[in-house]
Amino acid sequence: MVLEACVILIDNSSHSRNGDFTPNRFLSQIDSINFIAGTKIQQNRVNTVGILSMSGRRPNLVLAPTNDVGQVLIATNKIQIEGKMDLISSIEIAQLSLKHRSNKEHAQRIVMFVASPLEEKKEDLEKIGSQLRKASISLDIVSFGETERNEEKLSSLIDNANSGDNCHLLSVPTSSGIILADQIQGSGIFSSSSGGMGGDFGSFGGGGYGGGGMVDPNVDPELAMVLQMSLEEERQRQSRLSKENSGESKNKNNETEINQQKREEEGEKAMELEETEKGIQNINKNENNEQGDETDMFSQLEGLTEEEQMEYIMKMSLQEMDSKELEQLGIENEEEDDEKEKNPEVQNALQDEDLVDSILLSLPGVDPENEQITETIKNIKEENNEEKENDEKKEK
Amino acid sequence: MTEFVDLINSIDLKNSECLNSEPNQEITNILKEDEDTNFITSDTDEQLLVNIQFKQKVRVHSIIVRAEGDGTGPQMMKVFQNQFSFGFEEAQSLKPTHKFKLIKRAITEGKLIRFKMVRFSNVGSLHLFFENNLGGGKVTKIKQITVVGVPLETANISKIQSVEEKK
Repeated sequence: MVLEACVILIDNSSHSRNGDFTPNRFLSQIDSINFIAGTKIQQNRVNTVGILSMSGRRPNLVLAPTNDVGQVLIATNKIQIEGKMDLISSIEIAQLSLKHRSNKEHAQRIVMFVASPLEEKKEDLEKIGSQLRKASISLDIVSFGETERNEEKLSSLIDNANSGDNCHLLSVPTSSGIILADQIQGSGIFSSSSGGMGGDFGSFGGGGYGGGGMVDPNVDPELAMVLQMSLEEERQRQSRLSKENSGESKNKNNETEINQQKREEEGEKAMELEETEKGIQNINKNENNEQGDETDMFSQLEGLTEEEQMEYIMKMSLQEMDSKELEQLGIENEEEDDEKEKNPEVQNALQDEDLVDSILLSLPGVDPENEQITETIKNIKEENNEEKENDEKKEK
Repeated sequence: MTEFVDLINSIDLKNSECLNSEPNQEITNILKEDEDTNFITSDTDEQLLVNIQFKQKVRVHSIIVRAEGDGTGPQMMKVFQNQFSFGFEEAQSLKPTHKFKLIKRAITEGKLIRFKMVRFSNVGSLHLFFENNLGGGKVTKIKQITVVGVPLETANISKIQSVEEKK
């Protein structure tokens, strides 16, 4: 995660009244600024973002660098459209603001929106670019609306400011239906100054788990591993559902202990998994909830694709179920203090030796032929069989 | 007479920096005791600005600047002290506490460059602006910078002893 202090320069000249970007250039800038600020602060809570308006009587620092996203949203509303853009003074004022940042360890960055034809000379731009480079300030430019006219000047500015590929120029051509914020998100250049999570954070809600975008292995290998295991479990479950589509209420009652044991093993081997364990619990909660509704859910889920199923699970994880409801669904809530949930699918999965072996192999530091592990698994299977017998007796 | 020491232990490396150096070079290249294998090389032009932050106030006696004799060594060195957010603009507009024109021998042999100690009796941060180099080229390289002086009001922890309680 990069520690960064960023000042965003907004072009509020009369040229931004132009409606070629919906709803107009100015408002699409506001939109993008909110997105960029949100992303940067989400990447690192200590990152600061400031806003400077370039046009008008003089460039105006609307918001001093802050890590409060709310203030960013408020500040953008105060900006008026007026006058012409003064690029050089704006950059110098932004430079001053960054120089006096509170935390000297923050890397300095300027993000500039250009939507009006530049009147500055190329040499002046090159000079200010070198000035930025000397002060180790990286510069990102979003050029839109007047891209052809400004292309040459802006690219020379970026070349002069660039040291080690930290400066980028994004030119967004005018065409119908383009949303500026989407273009910025898609390019990922502002969010990935150090190869970070990219625009994934923008779409947190349902797909936040990286459904598709598995950047996890680079950033967080343990989380990636755990997610992988959960996905595998889910797939196994789905295949079982399609095979045994006859409402398995029998198996619901089991599994808590087995789940605990398994999770204890995982916990020991990867000790930083505290938060991710909760993630598993959530996922298992959802699987549980789904089984609760039995046949309806099974048939529904079959129809969905895997991705949709995952989304569905995520939604379920956001809902909470009382213990009462769980009882109604015929599920024993053996240990209510423990948040660990029932998962008969896991149990069935454990019966399948191959699957168990493959899961254990994927766990780091686990030797599947280790005596302890094989013993544990045997015990699990024995308990499993005992409980199954008990249930069958009950039902008779 | 107080002994002058290498103030390397009083330097706050985290808050010290070198401006206009090449991207991946660290300030420790020149401030840490080294085999002189790491350099600081200037990037955009031949100027370098070294901001040295001290952990406590010090008195600066002299400084040693080591560089190569091939013309990349610095020539004009302007010394400022106790400045906040010091950048190239300030370096070029403010009046320095000291101005030195370095000669080749001084930097290749690591000779002590004496400061007027009266002027540097209470230094929290030292700023060295290397304006140009000996060869006039676009690149300035520095091997090592050593600051010599004495820290003010050190708490000598080894002398703190527990007092026996009288019952």
